[in-house]
Amino acid sequence: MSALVTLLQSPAFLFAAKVAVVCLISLYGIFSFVVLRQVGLMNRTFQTDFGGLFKIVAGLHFMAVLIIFFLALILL
Amino acid sequence: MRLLYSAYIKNPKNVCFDGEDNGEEVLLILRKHVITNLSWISISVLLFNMPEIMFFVFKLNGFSSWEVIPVSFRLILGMFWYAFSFGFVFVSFLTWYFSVNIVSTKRVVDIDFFGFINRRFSEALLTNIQDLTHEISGVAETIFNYGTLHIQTAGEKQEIEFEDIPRPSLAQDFISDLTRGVKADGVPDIKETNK
Repeated sequence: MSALVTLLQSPAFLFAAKVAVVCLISLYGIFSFVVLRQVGLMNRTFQTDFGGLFKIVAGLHFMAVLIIFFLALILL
Repeated sequence: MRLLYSAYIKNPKNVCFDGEDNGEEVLLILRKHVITNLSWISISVLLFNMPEIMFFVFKLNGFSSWEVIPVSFRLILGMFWYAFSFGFVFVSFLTWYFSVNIVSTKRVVDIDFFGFINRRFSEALLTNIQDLTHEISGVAETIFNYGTLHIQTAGEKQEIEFEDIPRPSLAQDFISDLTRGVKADGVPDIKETNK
């Protein structure tokens, strides 16, 4: 168990983990941008009173992912 | 508000679709039955509870707490996980919400979003509808009264399918009455459909 703990806290492992986490969040960031664009397309295809709400939620989701991305760059 | 959760909406207000003509009116909106959302709702519950499940698994393997993982990693991974889980719920809901079958005074429209970024838009004029068949097969379909309505048309696309819609027999009767009116008088028989 202590060998695993030592590995988890070694600088080389932490650096590799940081790169992996930042890459993962970047990919998800691209996806959340696609979601934002797709919501616009969906709203044009079928227009309802809730279109604006979906756009706001998609925007907030994208912003949240951006914040997590910058936090990962700073904190990790 | 019903538009947000219902799968069978008669005479909806403030709704229009891509390619709708002037004077055309949406009479009926159909979606997949609400029960078909059960699979992604179950996955969502699992996703939101995954940190607790992981903690339990870690504990079984001798870890007393998350403290072996640096706090910055715990914070970032935790935030990312909940953003990802929310994204999954949002995308799944939108796919269901926007995959609609529309019956208007002029046509039937089938809008399908699949894999979230793929869209299929099929339509047929009421005058081109030749045959309507509905199918209810399976245990869940029988219990919750939902199924598929097959619309045979004379157009280029031979068949339009309204998949997993609630009360398919009622929808079939609705479109049948409408089509009969259009073919007889050139105008849809809205009074008949409102019975």
